[in-house]
Amino acid sequence: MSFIDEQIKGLQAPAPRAPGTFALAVAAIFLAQALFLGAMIWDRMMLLRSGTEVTLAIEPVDPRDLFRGDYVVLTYDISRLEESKLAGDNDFKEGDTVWVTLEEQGGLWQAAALHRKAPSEGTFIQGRVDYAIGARPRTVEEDEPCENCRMLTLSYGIESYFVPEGTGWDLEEQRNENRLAARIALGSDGEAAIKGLLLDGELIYEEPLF
Amino acid sequence: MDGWPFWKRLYQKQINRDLDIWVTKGWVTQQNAEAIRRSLENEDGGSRLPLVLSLLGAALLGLAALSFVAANWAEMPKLLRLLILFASLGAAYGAAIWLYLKKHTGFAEAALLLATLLFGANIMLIAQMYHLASDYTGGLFAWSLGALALAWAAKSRAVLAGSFVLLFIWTGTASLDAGISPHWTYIPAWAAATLLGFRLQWTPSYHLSLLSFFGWLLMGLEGFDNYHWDSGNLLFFALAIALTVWLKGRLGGELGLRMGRVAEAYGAIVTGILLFALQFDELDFTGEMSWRLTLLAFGAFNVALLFFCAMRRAFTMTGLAGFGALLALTVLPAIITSGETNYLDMTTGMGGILYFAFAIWLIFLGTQSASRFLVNLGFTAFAAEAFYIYAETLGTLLDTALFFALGGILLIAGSWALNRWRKKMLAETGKGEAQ
Repeated sequence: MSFIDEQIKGLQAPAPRAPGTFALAVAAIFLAQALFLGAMIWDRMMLLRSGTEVTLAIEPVDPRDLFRGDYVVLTYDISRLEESKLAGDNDFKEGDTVWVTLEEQGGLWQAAALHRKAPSEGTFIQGRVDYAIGARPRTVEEDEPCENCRMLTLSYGIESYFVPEGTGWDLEEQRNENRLAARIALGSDGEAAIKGLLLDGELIYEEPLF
Repeated sequence: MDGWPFWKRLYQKQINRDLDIWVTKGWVTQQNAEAIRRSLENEDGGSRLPLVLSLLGAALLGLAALSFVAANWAEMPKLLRLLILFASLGAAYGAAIWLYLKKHTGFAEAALLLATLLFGANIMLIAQMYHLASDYTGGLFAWSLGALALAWAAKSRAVLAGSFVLLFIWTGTASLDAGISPHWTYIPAWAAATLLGFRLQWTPSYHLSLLSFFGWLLMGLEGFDNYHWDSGNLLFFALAIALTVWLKGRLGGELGLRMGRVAEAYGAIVTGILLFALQFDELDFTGEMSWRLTLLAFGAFNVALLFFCAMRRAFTMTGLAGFGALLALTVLPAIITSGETNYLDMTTGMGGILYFAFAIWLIFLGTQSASRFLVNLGFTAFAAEAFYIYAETLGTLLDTALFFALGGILLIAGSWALNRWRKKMLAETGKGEAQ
């Protein structure tokens, strides 16, 4: 028998596992999967409990395709940013990771600067560039592209809010009337999690840790 | 036999009638006919039905858990929800272990499949509870990886099939939704699933493996735009891969592996489709260096495979010559192209001649290696090319009425001649097999 034949034979093992081995192997997988799920929960708990808190304004958005099943799609003031109006880095491309420095203005937090790396100080949120629309004329009448009009669409992982069935439409209406805001917990690396929703400045939903 | 389902009883009646005829004609001895009847009597009639139903039941339970995502469970405290999630997952695993120890291995497989679906449901429900909606691809990846690990640990065929499906959904989401294309991370995970299928010697997994591989390739082709490869470059790249799969399959078949035969079939089909596409005039090429180097690397690898095939006597001279020509066709563009030129125009009739040659070579290869599949594939390729040329050219030469009349006659005559030739070749294949 050649070397290759021997190697192939060594790879094949169609016989089922012995009962004891099967029980141990399956139990080990259960433990690993349970640990993974536990880690998911732990990560969010830590973020919600100890993260910095900011309040972000929620933008009204086209209502046609937003309410899906039992969650409301949330778009923030900081979801669409004009590069030239902000300090820091520029020329971001689709798929880039971006850190947005936030500054408080009248109780709500607004974008102040864009960074390619996590800033060493200040309050910042981590996001991803979904779309980067390049320089183009501002209106159909203009021929010349507006060089300083690069617009970024960003996502931060806080764009969906799951709600009890049947309550989504109310929230959607309130969101479109500009009355909703979100309380966001920020981790030390800028990772964000929704902590609660505010209606006219009053907390209406708050996420319990358990 | 009383407990048999109706289709088994119908089969029993049919085989009894056939055996009587075969014994009368002298094709089967009386002794062998009795042996076949006894074997049928002793079969555990319909015993797979409960297993299939239990697998379907597991899938339905899993789907029920998944649809729980949409249900209203806001009244429940979070801690209780989490307890339900962990307890249901633990119960499915516990049931699998208990059933396996009681030697109900089929039902244990169903419980493992249920556990796999529950693991995915748990990921989604926890994501819902904490409003985690951004990393959908990451969630799918975790689910697929959990399934694959379980399939390896338990040597479970049902979970392995599930893993292939989940991995494919994951790579589809990454390629088409998240725009990660080509999605290279898929390949190690796919290889791990394929290796397990190979270890278990489970034929359906070979099909799943090859189908998902070519599906991944198709989804990822667009991503090669990043390397400045155009449609023609992509076609030759895919052709080189299809030839690799074909040659590896041939070699594996010679080593006595069933997977080899399956891979050869898929490699041959995809090669046939890609060669056919060479005739389309919208193909464009670039002389990109990364493309040239990739084709040359595949070419060298394929020559090595062909060498091993020759060592194993996997081919006759016709087979070797044909494969040599195919390899040359794949590699030459990488050498002779210069700059941004559309150098390879196969649309002037050259493509048609080459495709007919390929079809005839396939028929010879199938006849010589006693492969009915390759013979039939060769005839299919031949007929497809004839129809393509007929549709492309005849209408331009004659007026419409004559076009249809002559076309009809040609089709009838052609199909009659083709069928006679096919039967003759298949008979030759039969002789080869008998020898």
